[in-house]
Amino acid sequence: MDDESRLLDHAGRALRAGQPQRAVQLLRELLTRDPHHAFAHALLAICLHDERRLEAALHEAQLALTIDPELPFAHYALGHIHTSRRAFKKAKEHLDIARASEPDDPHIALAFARLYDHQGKHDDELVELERARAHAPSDPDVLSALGEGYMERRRYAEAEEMAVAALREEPEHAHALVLRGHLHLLRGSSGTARDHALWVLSSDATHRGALLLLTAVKARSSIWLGAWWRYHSFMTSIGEARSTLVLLGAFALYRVGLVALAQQGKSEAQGTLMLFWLAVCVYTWVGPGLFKRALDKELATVRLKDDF
Amino acid sequence: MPKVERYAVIDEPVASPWTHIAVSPTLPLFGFMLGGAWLGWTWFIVNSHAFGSATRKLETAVALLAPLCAAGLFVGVEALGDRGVLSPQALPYALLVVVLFKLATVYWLYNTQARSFALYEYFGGRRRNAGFVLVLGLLFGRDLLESLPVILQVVFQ
Repeated sequence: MDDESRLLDHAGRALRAGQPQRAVQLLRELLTRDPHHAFAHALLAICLHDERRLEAALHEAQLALTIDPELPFAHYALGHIHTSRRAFKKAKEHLDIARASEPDDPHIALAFARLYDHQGKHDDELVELERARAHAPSDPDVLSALGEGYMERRRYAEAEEMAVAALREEPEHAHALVLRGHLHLLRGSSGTARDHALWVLSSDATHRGALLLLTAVKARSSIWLGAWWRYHSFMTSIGEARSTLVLLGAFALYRVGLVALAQQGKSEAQGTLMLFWLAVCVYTWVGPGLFKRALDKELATVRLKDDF
Repeated sequence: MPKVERYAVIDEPVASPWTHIAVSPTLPLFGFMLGGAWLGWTWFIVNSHAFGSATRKLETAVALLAPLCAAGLFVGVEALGDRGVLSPQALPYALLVVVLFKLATVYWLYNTQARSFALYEYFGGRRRNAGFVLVLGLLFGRDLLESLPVILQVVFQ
């Protein structure tokens, strides 16, 4: 194996282990040596996507396609990135091209499932997840993705079955552990859910899914933190542009209210509205800090495994 | 032996000699709220160049064009009021468009700069605590604006 293949292999492993930053470092090294390596550009695009650097990811995937227009992996990467950018038509076009080249690839089926999930086509999403399972019946990634799909459809027994099947294949599979944690949380077992999150974090202290699970557990412990978490989750789910519009809309309503009350001469109500707005601003500003402190306390108890 | 350039991803900050004055983009956002739009826009421009934001040219262009567009909006709304298209009661509501426009530009600048700033910090970049600028903006910002013509007050407030 030459140096470039080794770097590519290590980067792929780092990405699968949930360490996209490490993968970016390795791919940067590879691309410094060979800037025309189409697959490396496409893999870098996936890493950047996982780090939520969507503009850079799009640029890298397009570079990969410029170098090798036939590369299915570059189309797969573009499909993934366009899904996150909510450019659904383009995402489907690229995923269709990728599927035409590799019809039995379970990861392409998972990418389609993700696209349909974002579009709200949940029946199609489950069809794709089942398709992925048909292509890779014992792949723990596929099993836990299918389990998550079931959980979102409130088919909890099947979701549990998938999580158990994935853990049978790989007892420390992070996604499956997080899925089981969420299922415990839904049943009201916050303590067990917390243990699952901490279990994953002991192997990978930056695992996003485990941190989200731990956050969800914390959100259950306090009504105020829970309210902030739901607000934050909503704003994140609708994307940056839409969340900005929501904020601007809320501010516009507030100011319209102030003007209307001033015109009616209701200065007392105006003062109350201003105080309410101030309270909302302070709460949304202080909320993240309190939440972070609560999480930090919890994370301080995590004992990392010796091989971390 | 010639020095080999490291492969650079497009959204990563570039080297800058002014990193000692780089601050978190939250501060210019607060500057806008406490000191006025003039402070927010100016600080966003300075900060983007201080830490070498990957989108500094675009950020600078937006921050420079924003006051011109805000002034245009103000003139437009006033003209509609003068011609009787907008009633005196409706005018204060219509003028909110100028405030919302300024807020939208600042949100955009904040979101764009925050992404690049996170990478700047990831690569070991330091941030300065410049809370005193906020205090100065809060104490003197509004007084400075009061001496300006109305249109400039509306645009830069």
